[in-house]
Amino acid sequence: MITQTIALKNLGRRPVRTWCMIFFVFMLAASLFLSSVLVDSMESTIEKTTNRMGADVIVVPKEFEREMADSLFLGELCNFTFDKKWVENISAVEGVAKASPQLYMETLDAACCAAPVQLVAYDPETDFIITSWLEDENIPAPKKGEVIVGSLVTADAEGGDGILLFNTLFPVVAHLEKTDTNYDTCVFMTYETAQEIMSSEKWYETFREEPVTDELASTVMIRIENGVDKKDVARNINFKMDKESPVSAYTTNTIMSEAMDASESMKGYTSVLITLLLVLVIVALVCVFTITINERTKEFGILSSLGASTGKLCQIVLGEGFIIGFTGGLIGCAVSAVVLIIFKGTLTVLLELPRLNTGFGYLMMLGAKCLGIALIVSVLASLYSAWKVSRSELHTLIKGEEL
Amino acid sequence: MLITKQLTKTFSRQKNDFDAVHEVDFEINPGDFCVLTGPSGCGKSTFFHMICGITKPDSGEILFDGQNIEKDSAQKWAARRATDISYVLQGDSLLANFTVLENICLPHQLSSKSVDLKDKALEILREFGLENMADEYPANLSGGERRRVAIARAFVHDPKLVVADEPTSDLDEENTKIILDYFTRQAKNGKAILISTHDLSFINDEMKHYVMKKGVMTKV
Repeated sequence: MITQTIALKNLGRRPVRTWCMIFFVFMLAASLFLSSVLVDSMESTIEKTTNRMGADVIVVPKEFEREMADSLFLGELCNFTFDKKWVENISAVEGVAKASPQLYMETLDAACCAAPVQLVAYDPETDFIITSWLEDENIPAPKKGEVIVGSLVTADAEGGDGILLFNTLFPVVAHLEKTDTNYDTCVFMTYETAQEIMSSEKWYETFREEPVTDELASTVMIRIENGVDKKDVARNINFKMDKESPVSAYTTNTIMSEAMDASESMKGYTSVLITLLLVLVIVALVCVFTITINERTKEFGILSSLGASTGKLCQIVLGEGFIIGFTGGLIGCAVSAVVLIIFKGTLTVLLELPRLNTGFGYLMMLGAKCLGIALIVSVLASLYSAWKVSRSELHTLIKGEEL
Repeated sequence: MLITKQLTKTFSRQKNDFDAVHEVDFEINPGDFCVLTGPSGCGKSTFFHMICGITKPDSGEILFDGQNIEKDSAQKWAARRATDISYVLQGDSLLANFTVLENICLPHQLSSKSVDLKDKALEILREFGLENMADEYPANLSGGERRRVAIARAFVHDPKLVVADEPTSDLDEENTKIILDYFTRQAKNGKAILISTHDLSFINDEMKHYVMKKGVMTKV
């Protein structure tokens, strides 16, 4: 305890030097914290979306795989379609266990709709994705005219538990649990309900068309048979489809590959940056500690002449390293967490990220990890000085000679 | 209390070996006030460093309370300096980051015996007329005041022997007298005091006077 008091006193009497050292550690901890949040958020969104989707292969209109990925990863609204007759052909391809079409529609940012959201229509007869979510949450399948909404979609206050879509209020029969994917902002319904929307006056007024939903699909979600390679199935579909076919099959990983690549390159850049910063901070701290210790040899000589063992002298030096690491690390993590929480929305838009993970438990765990690294770096940097002090002859210390 | 037998320390300068301290026989007992004089570089500080465990002797013996201690570990010597043998360094030896009171108390708490010395420290400061300076930093003290604080620190934990390297150098007459009077009182109280100096004017019959020349010590 007394060594900590002496270490604190020493640091307190040299505020400029102390705050400079704390700043180095602060920079390291803050960079580590922020970059970890960015990378983790990207990775977890990709993982959660892939898991939530539950499909091995996805069939989308040719050249629309980018829009599909953006819809899944960034939550961008999409409404591409193709003729549903191709679903039968796809189902018949070798290795396909289940194939189910989904139809995507987007609502308008206008008074006729509650909010601009993604509408997803599915076929309860063949569906194996949304049906399984509903079963997991003990939610009955929506009937014609009913919808189920993601956790982030709020029902209209005026209309009770309902949502206004193209001037029609649809009852919301269930809210799905939060998944931290873009499915949280979607509205789910059967093909029959989608037909009701597409047959509405407002739809016709807006798009000047009366589509028949039974003839349309935006995507076909495919689950493959056990023991079959999903790449082979996607290749088979693309090979066996007619040349006139408007669709292409992709594995889930391929669809998400751009996001995965972006995540990987961000991870690579941040790793390089953090490594450089780590080396820089260690070198800077070692230099400052060494210069300071050389200025303080007389002080250590005085303490040893009064009976302080070399172990206690080392404890003082390491104690200073600990205090600097702890203070810098704590401030770095705390400031980063506050910045993330306050500027979450701005950062998400600026960095084109689907979402930022700012859960309390996650930030606490990450903060503890970054604080630990900051402490290790700072104590390691002071270790060299402590070692030099411990190896010095007492009379060298007393004379105040350079170590 | 402390006896040295044939204590020798050899240094090398420009590839030539020389004895900084040569076969010194010395004895100090409780109540003794010993003064060691001699020119600069004659080996006084080296001798002090050896009997305080700061420098290892090359040959000879050091006996403290009948125990042979010259081969003791650095750890044991550190513990001894924190309890039985107090060493006052030459020149300014206060820690600039600590107040007067902290300078006296904190270093001793680094030893295994963590006792609260605050009351004793204030008592000694009163004896030195520095009671109002307890919360001042060394930079705000005069040279004489700083030296008195260093001596207060040497006595605060009640050691058996106090070794002071030139405690009155560069001090005016008044400060020299305050310090020597304090040493004399402590010697009368049973402490063993050993100091070095260049100033022969204050030496009196109550003191044991030793002279050192080229590492060789003789009793006057």
